[in-house]
Amino acid sequence: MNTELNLKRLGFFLRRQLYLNFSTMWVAIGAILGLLLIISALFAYFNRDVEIVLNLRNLHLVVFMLGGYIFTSKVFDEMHAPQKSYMFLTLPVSATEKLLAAWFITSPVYVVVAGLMVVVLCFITSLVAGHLEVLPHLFDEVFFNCIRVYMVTQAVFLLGAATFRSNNFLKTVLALILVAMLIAAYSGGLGYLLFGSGNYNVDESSELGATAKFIFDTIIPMLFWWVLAPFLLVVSYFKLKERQV
Amino acid sequence: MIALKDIHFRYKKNKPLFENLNLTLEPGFIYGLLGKNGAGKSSLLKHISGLLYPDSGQCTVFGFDASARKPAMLEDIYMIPEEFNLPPISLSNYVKTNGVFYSKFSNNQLQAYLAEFELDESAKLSTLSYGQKKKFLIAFGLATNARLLILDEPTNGLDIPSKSQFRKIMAASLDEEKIIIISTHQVRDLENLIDNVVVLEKGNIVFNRNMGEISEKLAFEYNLSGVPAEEILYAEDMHGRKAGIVKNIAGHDARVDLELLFNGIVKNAAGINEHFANYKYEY
Repeated sequence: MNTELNLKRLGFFLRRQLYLNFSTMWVAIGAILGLLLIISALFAYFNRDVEIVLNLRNLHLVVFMLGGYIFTSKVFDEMHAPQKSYMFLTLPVSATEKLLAAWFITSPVYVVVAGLMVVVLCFITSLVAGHLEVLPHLFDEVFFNCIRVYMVTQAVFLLGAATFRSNNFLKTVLALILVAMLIAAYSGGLGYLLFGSGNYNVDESSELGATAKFIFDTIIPMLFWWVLAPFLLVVSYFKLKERQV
Repeated sequence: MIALKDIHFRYKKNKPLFENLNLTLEPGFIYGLLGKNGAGKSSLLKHISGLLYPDSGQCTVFGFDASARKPAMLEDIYMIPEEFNLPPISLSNYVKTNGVFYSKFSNNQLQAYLAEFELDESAKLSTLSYGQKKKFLIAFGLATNARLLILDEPTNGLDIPSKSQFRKIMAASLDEEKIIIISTHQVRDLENLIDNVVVLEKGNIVFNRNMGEISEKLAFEYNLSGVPAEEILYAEDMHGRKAGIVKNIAGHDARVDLELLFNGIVKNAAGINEHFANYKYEY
């Protein structure tokens, strides 16, 4: 038997995590859904406009992503609670299974559940606004791009959930801001060292221009879509593996 | 078998807790882990259960490196800490969601233990008192049939009948494959239960002896008047009299007073250990 990954055990662990957190999740889902429903219905009723329906869809997507990041940040709460951590860490489940279960709940399961909620909200909004014909157009490229971006970026918050012991969401956001500032300062400093304060114009046909275009058009998107999330999941795995009380 | 070899450990920014700690625990025994507050008892238990990693040295549990926390090893460990927080679900749902991870889990045994502790399986954990929750965890832990059971202050919060039920259940559950470690301050609760006494003092194992050996080599007197001074290993005031530990020169098994023994070891571990090393029968 593979001691690191056993599908039966993974299934049991998924069931345990869903069951133990179900009541809290249900309350949160109900509260958010109710609030969004009221806001959307009121806006749609008093502004019977196609534009409003589209804007409300965007609001739903923002809440979908933010809600997912907060949910992801709380996925290892049991591990960080002083009086619960022993139970989580001594449960006969490997770090791989704990990570996979956390990812599965906060990424595919969340996307399906929250995605269905967005569909329901969009349907009600367009119905109340009297523009039901807009509904199919609400699920355009922007909608699916949001889901793709969420599935990549939620790995950042999964790492934050495994790393920080409290206020995981806020600390992850702070860490992201600090990393962004460091990258900006490093890039700016490097640019200044290379080109000085002169008004250097990068020609796309020049070697430097072609390299920059290749980096920004090919390398960075590839790193973002295919490397970032797996890399963060691997780091999260080691965080779980090395976690002590 | 559990083996801690040359363990060094310190909490961040603190002075070292364990320096070169060595300890071997054999199956088939109940170990009483005693020590003052801050002696390192809970840290030692956390090392054994893989919740803390040593800075150097190795802790192996049934051949597994404890810090690897392999599921195969964790299936054979059940830990009941002093303080815990249980989810607000029924006992039966807790068992359904957690029992499946332990391949040797016995529902029949659980039912028997719950009946012994007078716990209703349909009750919600959030409605139980601290003592009842502890009894449930003890019942669940025993039903997992884990080969290593770690109990940190198990009798805290238990009422008097529950303490005797606890002793009865623990004694009955021991077999030649199991190791039970009980860490406690309430030494009287462990009398007639433990097989070995392990005393931890300032991060060091200062005493590790079998109860049979202790009762054979030491005697516990509650009035030391008339006892020659050279036979007294430790003395303390008790209700206006001198009580203490004396050399059991006759070699007849004596009743072990764990509280006196612990106090004696804390004050004079070297003298008591020396007596064990130099012990000779004098008929």
